[in-house]
Amino acid sequence: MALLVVSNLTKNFDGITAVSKVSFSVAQSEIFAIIGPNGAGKTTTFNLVSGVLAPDCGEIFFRGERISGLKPHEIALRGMVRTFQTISLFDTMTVLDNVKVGCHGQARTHIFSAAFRTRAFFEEEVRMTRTALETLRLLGLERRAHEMVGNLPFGQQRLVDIARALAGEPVLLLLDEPAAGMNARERSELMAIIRTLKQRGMTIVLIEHDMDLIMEIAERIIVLDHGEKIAEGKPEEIQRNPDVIAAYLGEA
Amino acid sequence: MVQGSPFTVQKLFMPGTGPRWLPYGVLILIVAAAPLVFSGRMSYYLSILSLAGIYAVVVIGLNMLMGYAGQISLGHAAFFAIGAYTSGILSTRYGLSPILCALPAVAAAGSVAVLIGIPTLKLKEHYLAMATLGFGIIMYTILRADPGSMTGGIQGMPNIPPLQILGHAADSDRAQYTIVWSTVILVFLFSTNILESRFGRALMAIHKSEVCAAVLGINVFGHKLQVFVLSALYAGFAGFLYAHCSPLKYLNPDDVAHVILSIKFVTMVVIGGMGNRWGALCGAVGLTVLPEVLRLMSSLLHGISSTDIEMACYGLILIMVMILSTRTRKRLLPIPAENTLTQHPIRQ
Repeated sequence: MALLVVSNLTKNFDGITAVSKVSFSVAQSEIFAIIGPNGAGKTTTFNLVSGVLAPDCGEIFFRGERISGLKPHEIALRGMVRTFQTISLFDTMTVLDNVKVGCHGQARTHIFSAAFRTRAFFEEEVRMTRTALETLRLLGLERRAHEMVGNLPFGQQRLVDIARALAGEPVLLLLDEPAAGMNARERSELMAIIRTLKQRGMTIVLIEHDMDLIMEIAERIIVLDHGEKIAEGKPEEIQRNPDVIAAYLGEA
Repeated sequence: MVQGSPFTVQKLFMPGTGPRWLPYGVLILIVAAAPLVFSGRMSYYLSILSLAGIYAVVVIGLNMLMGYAGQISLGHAAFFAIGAYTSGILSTRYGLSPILCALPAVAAAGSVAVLIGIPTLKLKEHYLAMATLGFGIIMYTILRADPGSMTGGIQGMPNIPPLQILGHAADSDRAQYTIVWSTVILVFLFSTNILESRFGRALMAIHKSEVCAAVLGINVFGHKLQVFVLSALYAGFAGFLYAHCSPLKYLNPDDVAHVILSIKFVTMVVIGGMGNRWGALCGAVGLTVLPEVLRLMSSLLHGISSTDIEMACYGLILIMVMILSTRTRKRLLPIPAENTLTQHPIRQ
């Protein structure tokens, strides 16, 4: 059974169809990519799947449960976490604290245990710090844990963004253009990280403009154009698909 | 911990490393030293400092809401008034011992905050400020009109009993000062603990980007409601202190519920540097003490009234805050994060 099933997803903005009857399904531990020209509806699809926007039509099932109509945080707590195209790190906090925000959903203690500094509070704080540091180690950012997040170079900020999402221990990770603004070395690091995550059993859905990266790591791809799905398949199939070529050339 | 605000007292005391308790030690020392300085005929100044302490409790709470969560309330005087009048009515009309009034006063402010918070916290940015402003005005009008003949209307409510501690009435300036400032220190430590936790981090996340916080698993509305109610509880408690621990022991809608008081609280938070706990404390004390300092100085400036200088000072302070905050690229008021998503209506 597929981990994520999207069927007939539709969204209109003021009469303009952003996403039209898009269906796809993602299997456990798969690296799945959504590509398409600018304005194809990729990010809108992400917003619909993560609950940031409500679909006009269509359904989304995650781990066998219908999640369309749930609020974003409810979806996140069910194991689906996303990143954004524009990095929105919490710039008043350190790298570590940013990642600890990602652990929020796993924590159980309340304000009162924090106010009175109960034993449970300290135990949980230690646990969150440990999870955050482990996540940062995985992404090679451990040494920068105590720096203010704004002092990091852009590429590393993207990784912090991903670390923050990973800290919530998601089953499915949605990455919206993770390689944007990265240099070649950072991009290859990113690919290595994505592969490691897959090996650990995580499912990854990504939007990306960098075709080299997509063709190298994605196992399955869907192509959107003007809100509609025009192709689906393995990277080599997509590269040969005349509709896809037309969509990209047509845009240029 | 939030840094980079204009008046970072915190930086003075905590340059990076060093013992964390040092600023608290300094605070306790200053609080303990004040009665020694202002003794005898000068004890009037202690009552001013008590008032500053009472305002500080409101401002510490409001700073959580504004500085941390980025939600602006222009109606916090209303919660202050609810606390004050609940306590005043229970102790004068029902003869309840003042110290027992604390709980109902805080509970009343908290429950009203829940009722107000549920619809208004769904509103964004300045709409919340407008809604709370409206609520503040309604509260003020009700207290003035006195429909149930409980509050005394515009005549106010006199003769509120002082706190009884171990059988002694605490009605000297010094006793009130001691009670108020020991609670301020406790409240301050309490909120520091609350903010330096996942709750505080979640609030800062919401301030930066609600969408981003939500997709990370933070219940945005739930947290906003919690911090709103929490800040109202603080204001209600401060109202209770005002009823029994201020020199007048007299409540009047113009003193406790006026919109100007709400705006004063907001100004205190802003002057302290939004999200700066030490700054909030200093803002509260500074703005309460300022008129007194000016009154002292006005004898030197013949012909100029101290209230005129006070107004000029407020203006000057706000201009300074504006200049300094833009220079440090610190946002004075929460601006929606530059996220493409904010173009579309976002569900909470």
